[in-house]
Parts: sequence; structure tokens; C-alpha cells
Amino acid sequence: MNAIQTATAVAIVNVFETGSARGQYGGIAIMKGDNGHLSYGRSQASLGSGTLFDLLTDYCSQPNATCAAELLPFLPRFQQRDVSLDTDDAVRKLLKRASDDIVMRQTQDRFFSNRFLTPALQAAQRLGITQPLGQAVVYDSHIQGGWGRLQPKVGAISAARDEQSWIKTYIDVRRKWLLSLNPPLPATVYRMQAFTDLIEASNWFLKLPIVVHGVTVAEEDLGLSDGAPARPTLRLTTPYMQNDDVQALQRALGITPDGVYGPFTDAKVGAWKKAQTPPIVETGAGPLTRAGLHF
Amino acid sequence: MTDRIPAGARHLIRACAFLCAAATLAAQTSSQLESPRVARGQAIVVLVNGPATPAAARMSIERQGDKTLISDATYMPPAPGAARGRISGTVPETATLGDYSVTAETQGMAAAAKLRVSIEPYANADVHLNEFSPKYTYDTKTAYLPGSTPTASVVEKRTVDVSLRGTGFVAVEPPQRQELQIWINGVRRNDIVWDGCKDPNRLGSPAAPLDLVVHGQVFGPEQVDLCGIEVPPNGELSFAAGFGDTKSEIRQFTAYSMDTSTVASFAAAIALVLALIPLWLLSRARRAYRISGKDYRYVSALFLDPETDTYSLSKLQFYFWTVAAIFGYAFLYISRVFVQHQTWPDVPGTLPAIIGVSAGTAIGAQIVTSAKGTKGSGEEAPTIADLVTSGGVVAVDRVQMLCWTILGVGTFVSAVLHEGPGTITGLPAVPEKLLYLMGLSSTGYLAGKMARKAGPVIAEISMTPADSDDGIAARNATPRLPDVAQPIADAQAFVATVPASMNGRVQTALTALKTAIAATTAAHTTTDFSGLPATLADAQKDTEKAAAEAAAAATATPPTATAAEASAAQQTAAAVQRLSASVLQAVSAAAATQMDTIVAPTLNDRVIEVRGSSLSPDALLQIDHVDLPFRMLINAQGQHAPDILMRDDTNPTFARALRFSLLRSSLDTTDQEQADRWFREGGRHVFTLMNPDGQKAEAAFSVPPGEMQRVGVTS
Repeated sequence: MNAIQTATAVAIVNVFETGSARGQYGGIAIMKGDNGHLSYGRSQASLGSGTLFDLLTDYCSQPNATCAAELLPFLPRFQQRDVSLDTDDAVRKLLKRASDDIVMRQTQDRFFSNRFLTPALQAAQRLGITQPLGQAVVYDSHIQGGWGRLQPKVGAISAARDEQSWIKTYIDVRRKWLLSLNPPLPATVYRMQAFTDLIEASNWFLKLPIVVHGVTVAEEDLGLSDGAPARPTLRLTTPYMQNDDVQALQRALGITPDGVYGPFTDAKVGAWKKAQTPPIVETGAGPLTRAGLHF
Repeated sequence: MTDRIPAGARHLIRACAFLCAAATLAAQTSSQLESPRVARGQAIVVLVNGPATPAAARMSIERQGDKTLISDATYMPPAPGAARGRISGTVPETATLGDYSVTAETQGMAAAAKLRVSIEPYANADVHLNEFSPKYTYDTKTAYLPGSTPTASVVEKRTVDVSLRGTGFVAVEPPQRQELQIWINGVRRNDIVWDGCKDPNRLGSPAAPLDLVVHGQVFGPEQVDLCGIEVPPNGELSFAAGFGDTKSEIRQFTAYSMDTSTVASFAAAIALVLALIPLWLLSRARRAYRISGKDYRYVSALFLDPETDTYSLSKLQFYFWTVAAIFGYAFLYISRVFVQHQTWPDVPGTLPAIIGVSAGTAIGAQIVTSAKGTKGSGEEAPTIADLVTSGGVVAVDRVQMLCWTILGVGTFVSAVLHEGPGTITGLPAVPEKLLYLMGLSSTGYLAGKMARKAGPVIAEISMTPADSDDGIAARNATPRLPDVAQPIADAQAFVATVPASMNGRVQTALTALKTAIAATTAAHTTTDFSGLPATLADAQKDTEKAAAEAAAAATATPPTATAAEASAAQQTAAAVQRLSASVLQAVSAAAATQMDTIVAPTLNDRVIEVRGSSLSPDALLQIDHVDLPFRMLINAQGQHAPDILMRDDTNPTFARALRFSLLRSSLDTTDQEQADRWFREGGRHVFTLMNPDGQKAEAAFSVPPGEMQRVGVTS
């Protein structure tokens, strides 16, 4: 897989987990019950499993981590898997804030890549799966779990007719397996349906854009850039872009700065670009629009 | 009555009759024929008391009022030493064959001589009809005749084709006249059309009915074919051939209404109906017999031995012979009563003996089983192989009995069918030697059963804990529900910020958002949360659509919505998207928690208890046909062996209940992996116990148990 295909595989699984291609770096989920615990980040590092402690330790060890000093005092409680952290509002707010830190995002990307993506790609390579869609399927199984249980049932690729047949068979076996489990796991069968849709579209190489579980994933959504991070193009996506950058755009356009790049904002951007001489032709609010509106 | 007299005798009688008549006439006129049988072109010679010198003569012949004058009649005076003169005249070539009255006279006769002469096709002509061989046929054809009125439906008649064989058939083909005479059922058939039998349409069809006409063809003096002869209701036909008034012997021929396959079909149907009656009774009395979760319907159940859940050979033999006997007798009854119109036939003496042998075998097998114990139950579900195996091991005594049973039944049925329904008079007697052999075969079977050790039978199997490792882990896991209070609070807070005066599209989006909030708030179980993403996805679509419409309205010329409304609509859609993403993330987190318990469940120790009969503690064990070695077992004494819970009364070396305990933590890695494959996931497994003599028993059990694990239960 090249970098775009790898990022696409990650984005697909991000959509499965968070409903967003980039993932919810600040996503926090709390499990109810006596043994409840909180999970955090793009791929659900959890308090109960100890992965959240590992993630935060990694983050705090980064020199430019802006929230490191505030998080450090909590690390012992994370290490002890202190369930009182579930309801600690200060910790939740701190974790939310830390997710805006680019260092936290990079840490999560590296952390989850080492923990899930790299082993998944190695497992796929050992099995002989070379096509990006197949590797995305393997990655998804590593993120959600159960790869070790199901892969032996399907056997080696040689047991199937070819690699694509094997992937289809594996998806089918996994779909049935998920449906046989206790709730809420049967509800996650949408993951297998999304892969099946890609197979039916013969998109074995994950050519973008793709629609996964109702979310459009384009190359711009992958956050890939050469060198210094470029300011992203603001455009109409699902879900809508919502951030300060959008708010700045709206102020520049003279409309209510609600911070949501929805259809109304998109229409206003389109009208402004058309009114320029010569009209600006680019997707959404890209570099030309930014330059023209000075935001 | 004269029809039954042979042709030669009839000629003799006719000659005598002529002689008598001539004698009578002679007594009156002293005239007589030189020969009463004359061919065409030959002279009729009448000996008369005529003058001593030549004189004119007159002669005529008359038949059925048709008188012909013989033009060349002459009188020859008596030769020296002879008493009578001769009046002679040549029979015309055109004369019709048959018996005639001849009148001859010359000068000096007191009265004309009146005599009877028979004109035949050639000198010394004679005709004979052979017996039919065979004297019957099943091959009848249907002729379609017009109804009695134009509107009446087509009448169907059965017809038959025959080939007459004999000698002396007048082989002169028409067209001028019909020389060959045919009598069918005593009636002279002058209506036969001698155009052959090759016309395929001569019998008509339902759409084009035709009058029934007998067609024929003369192939020579020895063969005549007739076709389209109507068959009377009783199928009996009689035929005679001849010429003029000369008739051959009368030969009988029968056209049966049903052929072998038809009668066999009826007999098979009767046997089937009779077989269905007990099945129907069985279906009213009990429900399906279930073995290893599979229902065995009544046909199978009839052959099953309930103690071992295997197919019983002795029952098979008994049923086979019973059905064969019913079939044979039904065949005989239909043939005799409905085909031959005879009386109700008797049953041959050896047939009850055959039934007796097979019934005795079945009873004897039951007695041996009661005394010695059952055979091994073999594979978990009954298979046809049970007929030749005992506990999964091939038993020669069973093989030979099965072979002899099939051979005997097959031979009997074949012999029944070999006799056609028109000729069968009784069921073929089963040869005594075969009967003796059947008895010997059954004795061998029972002796083998007696000599063989009882085999293992598993009546019930249970495992503790009953559920799989995954199932136990899932059940013991505390439900982990996602906490979505904060996303709900955020969404509700947003709703409060939207002014009530906003237009319809905003209200549509708001309604969808409120629906999403309500659905999320109502989710209290993992199942509720499972369905929530789909509900929120619908709400998201609705709000996004409303936002798009509001944006279009706000940017239209002129605008039909305000910028504030368009902004509110897209904010509402964004709020639904946030709520939806939060819930999806929460569900994913909950699923991940559930997955943790599945991926790494607790491995539970296992105890399997088996109850049945003739269970050897030294038996080899398998689960799913993979060996369960003794090294994986541990008993109460700490030995690698099963626990004997109950010994078998009839044979103390056997047990009636055994316990097999597996301590998972004490297993080495290889055995641990195998135990994982057996017990980690739910599913169906097959437990096999093979006694040292090779007889085995299998029983299926499911994890978790879906039903009582007794092997063979009624459902």
C-alpha cells in the first residue's frame, strides 16, 4: 500500500469507530456500570485495558506537548486504572483540550499505528494479502478484535481460489460471527457491509473518493501533506467541518459565524468566488479563496 | 356344436350325408354322384339308370335360389358290365364355392336325379386352422367409433389383431370375389376388407372417429392376418377359416384387459396402501423420533431399533417379506378375479413359512438382545450401514442375511411377475431348499448375535459447564453501556438556542434532532444502543436535507428564507451529526469491551458424563472424531482415566455411567489448543466411545445445549 492507501484504510476504520474520516482525537466514551471505564482518542484507548495510560505517557513524554504538565499528576491514577476517572469532569475537559494539540494528534497517530496498523499490515503480509482493500479488512479486524479467532477458520489464501475470494469469504465469515455475538456487537456488522460495498464497486485499490457508512472520504480528508502542514481546504463534507477556521471564513464572508461549514456557508463561498474577476475556480474555500478573503 | 368337430371329420360327415342322401335318392331314383366334392372346371358325374344308348342330358346346379345350367352336360350309357349310365357336366370356373343342389336327367329316367354336391376351389381341397400360440394377448388397441347420433360422444372399443396360421387358406386375392371365409365368434364375416393392416388411421381417433371395420391380408395358404377385431367384454374370441361352406377347426383366443405392468402397478399400489395404514396409525399415535436433533419420520422409525438408534436388519427382513407377500397375493388376486374372471385364489403353503421365518428372526433377535445386550449403537445417527454392522464393525452374519433376504425377495417378486396375469393360477411356490436356506441364514444371524459381545450404547450425554467458554464469558460479563449523557446534554442545549420563530425547514431539522435526542435518551440496554446508529443516521439525513433546502432558499433570487434560518438549519444538522458521531463512538467502545471478553475468555474445566449400557472404561474416546487421549483426563483418584459412576449389572467389566474430567490448566500446550477447539465456541459436537472389541457408540451434544442431550428422543 502507498501512503494514501494506508491513510485511506485508517480513515475507513476511523469512520467505523467515530463517524469521521479523521477520527475523533478528542472522542471520549464512558461505559456505565461498576466496572465501567472511559476510553479516549481516535481508536478508543481505554482505561480498563491500560492503553489509555500508555497513550498519555507517550504524549507527556513529548517535548512540545502543551497539556503534558496538567496531565502528569493524573498519570498514576490512569496507571492504577482508577475508575473514578470516569466521572472526573476535569480530566474529561483536559483530555478534550489535549486533543486539539497537534502533538496529541501525532502521538495518537503513531501510538495507534504501532499498536494496531503495523501488526495488522504484518499479519496481512504473512498471509499474502497484498491488495489495499484486503489490508484494510485485516486492519479493521485488529482494531475491533477477533482476527486471531477468525483467520484460522478461513485458512490460508491457498484454501480459497485467490486473494479476492479469500477476502470475500473472510468478510462473510466475520459478518456471520458478529451477528452471532451478544449486543452491541451485531450492530457493528455495518463494517462488513461497507467493505462489501467497496468490493461490489471493485474498488480493491481504495481509489478515492469513497463513501463509507454514509461518510465521504476524499484525499483532502486524509490529512496528508508534504512538509509543513498546510491550511486545509474548507468544503462541504459529511459530517460538516466545524472549527474556528470555518468561523473565520464566515466572518470574512459577513455571515453569522456559527463555525459550521454547511450548505449555507458553501453556497455563500460559491457566490463569492463567482463574483470575483475573474471568478475563482477551486473546490470549497481553498488557498485562492483564503487569499481573496484574507482569513 | 358342429363348430367343435375337426375339419376332416366334418368332411367325412358331409360325405356321409351326401352318400346317405344319394342312397335315399338312389332308393327313389337309383341315381348317385360319382364324387360329392368337385372342383371348378372338373366334371360333376351323376350315375343314373339311363338308356343303354347315348342320349341327350341336362344338368344344372342351384345354390341359394341361384340356378346355373351346365351347358356341356352329356349322357354316357352304361359301360359293359356296369349297371348305370353317367351324366356329366363341367363346373363353371365362375361358380361360387359352396354346397349346391345338382339336378341331372336324361331320356328314359322316371324322374330327374337331385343330388347335393360341394364345389371346392381345387381338387381334394381341405382347410385347417392351428391353435394360437400364445392363446392370449395383452396387446389391445382402442378404436374410436362415431356415436349413435351426430351429437353423441365418440365410442371407444377395444380391438385386437391376430394372425391365423394353418393350411388350405384360399390364397386367391380378391377383387372379384371372396373365396376365403372367416368365422369370428361363430359369425361368418363377409365384411372383412382385404386391404392389409398397415393403415395407421384405420382405428380412427378421438377427433376423427371411424366405423370399426375388420381388415385382413392373406399371406398365403398358411397365414392370414386380421386386425381391428372388436374384443367382447369377456375377452374371449373364437376363429375359424374356410371356403364356401367348408369350415376349419374353431380356435379360441383371449384378449386380456390388463397386462403385467398394469396388474403389477395395481398390486404395488395395494401393497403401498396396506403399508401406509400402519404408518398412518403410527403418525396418529406418536410424534417424530428425534436423534441428535434430526427428526426421523415414520418410515425410518419403523426400521429403527430404539435401544441403539440403529436400523434393524431383522425388522427389515420381516417388512421386506411381508410387503413382497402382499404384493404377490394382490397380483394373483387381480389376475384371477379381474383378468381371468376366475375365483378368489388360495395362498401357497410355503409363503406363510417364509413370513414365519422372518417373523421368527425378528422375535429371536429381540430375545437375544434381551439376554445378551444390544449391539453397539455405532455412529450418532442411524445409517444404512447399520444393516451390516454391529457397533460400526462389519458383521458377516448380518451381511449374509441381508444378501439372502434381498435375493429371496427379489426372486419371489420376479417369479410372480414372470407369470402373466392371463395365465397365472397361483403364487409361485417358494422352493423348499430356499426356505431351508432362509431358515439357515436366520439361524446364522441369531447365532452371530448370540456369540458377539454386547456393544456400547450411549443413551445420554452431558457436559459441565454446559456452555462454551465464550458463552460463559459473555454471560458473566457485566453489561457495559456507553454513557451518552454529555452528548445528549449538548444537543438539548443547542435546541434551546434555536428561536421558535424559525421557518419550516428549521423546524423540520429541529424535529429530527429532537427525535434523535429522544431515541438516544431512551437507550438503556446494549440492544437499544445496537439499533441507535441506524436511527440517528436517518435523523442525520433528514436534517442535512433540510439544511440544504434552507441554504438554497436563502441564496435564491429573491430569497425565500433568511440567512439566520439557513444558518440555524445547518447548525441543527451539525448538532445531529455530533450526536450521531458520539453515539457511534460510544457503541464502538461498548463493542470493544464486549469483544475483549470474547477474544480472551476464561478457559473452563470440563466434565463429560455419559450414561448408557456396555460402556467400557477402557474405551477409546473421540470428540468430533479427534482423539481424546487418556492423558487429558483426570479422575477422582488423580489417574488419567475416567470415573466409573455405575457398573453394568449384566457385565461388570462394563459401566452404565462414566465421567470424563478435563482439567484445562493441567494440559500441555497441544492438548490445550485442542481443548480450545472443542470448548471455546458454541456448537455441535460428536462424542465417540469405542469399546476394545471395536464396537462403538456415538452421541451428539450441542454447546450450549439446545435440547435434552439424550440420544433419541421424541419431539
